[in-house]
Amino acid sequence: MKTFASIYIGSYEVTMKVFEISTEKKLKEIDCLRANLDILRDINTSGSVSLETTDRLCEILSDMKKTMKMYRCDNYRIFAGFMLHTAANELFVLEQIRIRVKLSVKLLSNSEHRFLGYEAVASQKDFKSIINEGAVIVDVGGASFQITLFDEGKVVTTQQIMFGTYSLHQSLINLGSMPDYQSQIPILVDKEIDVFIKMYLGDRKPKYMIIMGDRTTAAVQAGLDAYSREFIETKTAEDILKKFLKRTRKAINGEDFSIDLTDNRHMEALILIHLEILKKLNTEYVMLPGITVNDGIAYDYAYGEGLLRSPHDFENDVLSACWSIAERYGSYEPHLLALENFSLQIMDAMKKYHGLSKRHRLLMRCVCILHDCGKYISISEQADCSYAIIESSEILGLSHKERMMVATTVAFNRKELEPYEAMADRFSEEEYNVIVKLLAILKVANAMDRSHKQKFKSVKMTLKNRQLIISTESDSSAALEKGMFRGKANFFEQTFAIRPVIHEKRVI
Amino acid sequence: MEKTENKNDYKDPAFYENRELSWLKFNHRILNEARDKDIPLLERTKFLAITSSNLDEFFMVRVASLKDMEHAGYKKPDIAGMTPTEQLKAINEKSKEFVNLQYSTYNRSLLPLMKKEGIQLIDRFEDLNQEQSSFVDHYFQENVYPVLTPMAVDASRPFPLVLNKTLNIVAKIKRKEKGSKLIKLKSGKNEEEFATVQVPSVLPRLIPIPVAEGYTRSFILLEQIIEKNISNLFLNYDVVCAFPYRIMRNADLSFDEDEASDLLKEIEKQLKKRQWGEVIRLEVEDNVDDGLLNLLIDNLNVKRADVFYINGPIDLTVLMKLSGISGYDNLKEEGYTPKTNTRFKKNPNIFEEIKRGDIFLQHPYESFTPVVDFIRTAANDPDVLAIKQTLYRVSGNSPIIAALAKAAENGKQVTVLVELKARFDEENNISWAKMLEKAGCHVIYGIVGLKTHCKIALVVRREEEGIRRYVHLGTGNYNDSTAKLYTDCGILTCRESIGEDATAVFNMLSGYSEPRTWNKLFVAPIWMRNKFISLIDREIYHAKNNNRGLIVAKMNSLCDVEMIAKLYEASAAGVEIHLIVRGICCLKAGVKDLSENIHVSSIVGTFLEHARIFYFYNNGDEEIYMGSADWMPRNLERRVEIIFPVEDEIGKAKAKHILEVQLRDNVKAYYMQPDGEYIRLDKRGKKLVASQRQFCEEAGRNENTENVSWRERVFVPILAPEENQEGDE
Repeated sequence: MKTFASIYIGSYEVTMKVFEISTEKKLKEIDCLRANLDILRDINTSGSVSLETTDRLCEILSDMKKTMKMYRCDNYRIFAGFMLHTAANELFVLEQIRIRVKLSVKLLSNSEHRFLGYEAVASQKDFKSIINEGAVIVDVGGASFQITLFDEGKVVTTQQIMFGTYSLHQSLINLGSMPDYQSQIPILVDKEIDVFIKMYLGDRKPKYMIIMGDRTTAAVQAGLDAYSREFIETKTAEDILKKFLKRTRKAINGEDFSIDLTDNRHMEALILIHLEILKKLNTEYVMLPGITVNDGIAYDYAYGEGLLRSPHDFENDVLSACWSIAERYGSYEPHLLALENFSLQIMDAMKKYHGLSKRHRLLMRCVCILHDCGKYISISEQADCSYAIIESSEILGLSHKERMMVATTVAFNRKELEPYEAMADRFSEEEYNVIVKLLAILKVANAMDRSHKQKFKSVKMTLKNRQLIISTESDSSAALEKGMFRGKANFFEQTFAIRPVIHEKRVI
Repeated sequence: MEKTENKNDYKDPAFYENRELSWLKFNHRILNEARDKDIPLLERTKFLAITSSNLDEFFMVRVASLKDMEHAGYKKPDIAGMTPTEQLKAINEKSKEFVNLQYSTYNRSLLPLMKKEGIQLIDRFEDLNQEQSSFVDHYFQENVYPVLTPMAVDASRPFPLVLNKTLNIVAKIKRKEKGSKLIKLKSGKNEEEFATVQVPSVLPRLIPIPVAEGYTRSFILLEQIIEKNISNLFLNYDVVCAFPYRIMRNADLSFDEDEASDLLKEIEKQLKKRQWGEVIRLEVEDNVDDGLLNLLIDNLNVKRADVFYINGPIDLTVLMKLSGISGYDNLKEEGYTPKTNTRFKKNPNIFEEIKRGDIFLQHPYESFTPVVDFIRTAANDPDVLAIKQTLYRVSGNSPIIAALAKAAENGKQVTVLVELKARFDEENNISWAKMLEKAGCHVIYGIVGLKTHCKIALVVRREEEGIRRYVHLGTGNYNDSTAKLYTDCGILTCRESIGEDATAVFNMLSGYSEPRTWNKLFVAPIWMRNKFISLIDREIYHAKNNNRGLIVAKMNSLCDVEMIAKLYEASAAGVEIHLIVRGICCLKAGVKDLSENIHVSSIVGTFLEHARIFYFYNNGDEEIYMGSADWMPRNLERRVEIIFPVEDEIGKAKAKHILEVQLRDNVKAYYMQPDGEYIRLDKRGKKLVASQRQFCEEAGRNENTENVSWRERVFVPILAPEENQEGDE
């Protein structure tokens, strides 16, 4: 059994959860500390985190460290939300924590943040059957909210909408004096959700909505006769939330003391956003597992350390999301499949020489699936367009950095590779090497299906005398492929010091 | 019922008793114990002392608060429709009647009885015999004189600060013809002057003296020794007359907690200020000299109406000492030694035993030692990671404090919330807080704006199967001394749901946010009232659906308007309600068309009833809760309180048994009548039930309840009070 602490520094709250992890008990929360801290307010008002907030943050973390010590935690992870990236003094704050509290904080990108939460949700019972029937996961944060759509067990899309409880809370304060502000406010949320519905939901009718976070869960659970981690009808959840909203408004007006607003200042905004999402997406059922990013951090650690085995295949989600993008932008599926197949064969054959990991293998597959998505926008500017599409598309399961590696690899498939120096601001040398290796494989694989007609059949690859022998059969002329192959082979050889060679056998 | 149509009707002031007047009735019930001939003499003196001490506190806090309201021009009526001025007037009147009854009891019952039993208490030095007189004079010279500081009163020397609750003697003195001059009076007439001297609180007030003939023990009050020798303090003067007096000051601390950067220092500062609080009561002997009285009234700035003329020794709390004198076993209740809970007899390993199942403790019938041992064992257990505890009032030499300090020394993480704002225990708690901090504990001084009144202790232990939390939850303080005198209940449990909640409570008390949800505990000030209301609503629902609705609630005070209105509503809906309320009860019971289904009783016995137990029938699926909160606004709104469920079958059976026996009490229980008066039941022909005595007897027996299902017990309906109006009052 391991004891693990996960700390998350959010927009207006710092949370630590302590877990026991064991194969018998899985993940068992044993403590949860939450402290209010308005980091996002600081950033929004002055562009940086104030000294007072930094001091308070250090105090909170120091106290949490004592609790970790008390529980004799075996390990811990501390993450800060994406909003800290936007602070002008982000590095100063992290350095202060490092020096004063002796804790190292990692900043999460939005994708990583959402993925952590998703890891926790996907670890719940019956998740597979839920997504098979169509589901959305809704994760409302201080700075934005995220909707992930599943259809037939696959991720369709993950969209981040830059409108969170903090911004709505500010709007409520600003518009609070207007007589009809309560009817105006939902419009702000609606227009954001409408875009999502139009662009991604279409005719799909997801049956379930899974709501992340524990505040809304607590509000709904309090209104239920009996605690339920199972589904409840959307109408029931809506009714409870509407009642809760009324009470929250009464509390704001000092007429109800049953809600402590010191800890729930954004409650009105949070409930409003959820109510609008419930109304707009109109699923049949809602599930509120009460999961937060802290749970996700713990699951991620447990899976990463091999302490637990995930019941869900997250790689499939990544690939589904990529396929969904490819489909949206009209990519030719047989070509993508051929490319994926060739690339993976090359990787497998070169296992001893390429130095790439299992994770890189996943990136390779993403690169293949997305390599020409930009064509949809501009054939001539395909490289840049592909890059832009990948850069701005959330792919649940990939970190921001990984997504950028995929985008860069795809871009240089059509453009001349830039030297490391030109990319040193974005990637480490190691990451650059990975990009180059993926690119070299992509180029060779792409050349093998240059005509998009999958002429090469029964492809086999073997490594012999510093050559990658690609044995293939074809039933029509593969002159184009072979012609294009040479140029790509040179780049491949420069990268791996191994030359790919095609041995073609014509069959009738 | 008509009333159910408009729930607001239940808040009509006519349906409520004023809380202060209700409290005076409670003190009257205690005074009845002092007047009860069936009670041994020294117990009666103890009860009289308690009424005196209670009244002091009542004035310092409640009357003071009303005076503050009056000064501030606050005119809003209370739940019974009385303005602060009206309340003060009524309190003054009732208090004076009460004091007269106290002294009538003292002079006409207790003093003659003491004489009869051979105990001489001299409250007039003129009654001393020769031998006693010489002894007293010698005692004065040897012990008293060195610690006296007489102070003159004149224009250049303003009236000195007279400390709250201290006994003083004011004297009219006249300069001897050849003596040196002290200070002239304002009038310039060089005739009579004044001086005041405090009866030293460092010396015992009850002094044993040589036994006079016909007695077995003789005592004199310290102020009489001083009065007898007062001329020794003013050698150049003749003492014209001297009288004892005592003042009561406003003892309510008022400070802005939000502005206080260091709560501990701020409270220390305010405690000093308490000595200067407004004088709200002046007690003087009933034959006091008019000139001296006027001097006191003028200089202490006290209203004439607030002067209490006392026909006997001022401050009867001294009788508490008298009740404790050695010997005279025939004049005392038989001593009771708390018994060890049988669970600990079987298995001394406290953690192992708790793991076997919840342990229900009923104090003082059962010993408080297991609770002390719980902390003590944890302090020395290498597997214990942390101990967290709230402390409201602790004993003078608290073993719990010592254990907590030891735990910190042993490297445990020890978090202690010491409530510095616990009234009249502030100084005590400040010193404990400092001591614990010194030992390495993390001490929290309380929560801004709230008093932390809940009684909870949490031990976090790392065991083979993982972290396990052991929790003690109680209705009484972690005070091993009062645990022998107050009836309280508690549970020791390691239920996960309660452990999680306990952790959340301490996180909240440490400044972290509240948990999103609570598993089992009702925590005030935010969640408790609604929980109770919903539990009553559930009984209303059952009653309206032609099922039985039943509530039995035992508490110290009931004065929350929301709760009372809800009880009226429940009564109207047909819910049977039995309330065992020791003290203040603003609800009116048995009133036609209002509270016919509500019965209120109050038990005043040897032990102070202190447990809060709440029973809800819930259509047969009974639920029982206990905790630290009364149904008072202060508990539900301004304090951190915890109510916890009793879930263990044996614990439930025990809690239900306590209620059941108390509802059948026809010896020590009073029953409220529709007119608000309390009476005792007619016992003729009935089996006598004295609940406290019964619990004492039961605790001595071997517990054999483990196979008994608590559901097998049924409530025996009490006799309808209105049928017993010819009771024994």
